[in-house]
Amino acid sequence: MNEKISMLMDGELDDEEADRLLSGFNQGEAEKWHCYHLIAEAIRDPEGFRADLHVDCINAIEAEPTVLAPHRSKTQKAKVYAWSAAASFAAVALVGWMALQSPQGTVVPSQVAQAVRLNVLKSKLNDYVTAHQEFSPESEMMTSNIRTVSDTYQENGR
Amino acid sequence: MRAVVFLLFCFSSAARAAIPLQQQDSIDLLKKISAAAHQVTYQGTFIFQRDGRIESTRIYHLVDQSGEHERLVRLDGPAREIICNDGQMAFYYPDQKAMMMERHAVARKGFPALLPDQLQTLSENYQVEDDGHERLAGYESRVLLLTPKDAFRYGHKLWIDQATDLLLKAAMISGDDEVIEQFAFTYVRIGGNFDRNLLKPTLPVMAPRMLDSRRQEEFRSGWEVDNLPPGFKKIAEMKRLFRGKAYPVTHLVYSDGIVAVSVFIEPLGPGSRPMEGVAKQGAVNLYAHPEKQYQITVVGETPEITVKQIGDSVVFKGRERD
Repeated sequence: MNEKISMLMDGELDDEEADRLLSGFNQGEAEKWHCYHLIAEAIRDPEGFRADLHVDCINAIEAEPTVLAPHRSKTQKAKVYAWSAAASFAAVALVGWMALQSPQGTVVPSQVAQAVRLNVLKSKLNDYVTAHQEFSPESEMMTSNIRTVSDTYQENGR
Repeated sequence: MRAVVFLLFCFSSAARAAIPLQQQDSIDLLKKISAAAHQVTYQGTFIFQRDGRIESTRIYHLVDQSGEHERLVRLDGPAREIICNDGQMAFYYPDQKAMMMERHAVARKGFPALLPDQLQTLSENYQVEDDGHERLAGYESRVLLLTPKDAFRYGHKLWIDQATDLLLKAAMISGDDEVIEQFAFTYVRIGGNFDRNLLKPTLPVMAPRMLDSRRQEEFRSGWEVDNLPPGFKKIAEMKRLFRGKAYPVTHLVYSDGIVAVSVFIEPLGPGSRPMEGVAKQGAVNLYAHPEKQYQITVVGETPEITVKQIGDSVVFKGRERD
């Protein structure tokens, strides 16, 4: 179901499939769908997002256990945002905010098309964060496991 | 005259003005904190706060003849435990299903993980000050303030137990004086009797999945960072394996004496797509950036500009690769 919702956000379902999916939503799924849109909003307007994002949404996002498989990248900006929202419940809580940027700081569609989203690969990146902690003098002052044990998303993805 | 100086000193203390520390004193103190972290037996509960979230964790830490033993029990959210026996670590994450993992951590590097000449540059990067005393978790602590001298690093405030030098609280502070990440004991008992049973895992043991930790140190990759932010120097370079990665990853570590930045370089194999972007979690910033046929990933508990500047100036200067 999550994958379907993600595909819907991506615009990858045809109208008939989309109708069927939307009308079959239970309470939880409807809320999730609502959440994804809130997140999409948040990614478009990071300034305003914390205040608007409902606590239940954050909880629902955090309870989400799996990483969605990456889809074919889209070049349209809006779709990229939506895709990001659907695939990246983690992005909100894991990183607070996240943006695709070219070295100049602007979104370049061709680069977006090429780039696999960071958040989809967060499990691998978490390995890097853990590997890094071992060398951090700052972590060394207490226990290098503080960040690791507190990380909701550690080892989430496979 | 002496009386005047003394009075001035009293007034400044009353106003809680921080007193600059001599470089050698700062270094000695930082070394003591690091040593205490591995030599003091304690148990307690600490909170860890970042990105608007607070989590509590229980920690048991025993040091005896057989070495250093630690068990962390996450109290909020999914139940998790981390057990560490002399560098051998086991992660118990039942919410993640098949979840016991182990790895051999590197031998503790000690702190600061720096070469002698780098210790001397500490005061070039931070102003270190004594910021008075504060009672924390029932213990009298000495407060140390490290204020960065440029925008490439965060500030640090450390609360150190007077008697044992154990770190009782630590906060990382942004340029806008905002606390971006902090940990603090809410309860701690230092020393005293220690029930060894408290070091045993209580969560179910599942099929182990090994985190691959094979690594080759003393390795010259040929990769360099051309435009290092001031004060950062290379403290480690290695080639290591990560699960799910077909090729060994080059891992370079740079430090300014207080924090570190890791650079991971891996070849982009056929079919793998480059990553480009920044991500943030508490004080940790992450920057991914493709460089020709290689993926560069930079991780550090520094501001974003630091990981970006490093990531954007990673170049290969070695000989032909094999």
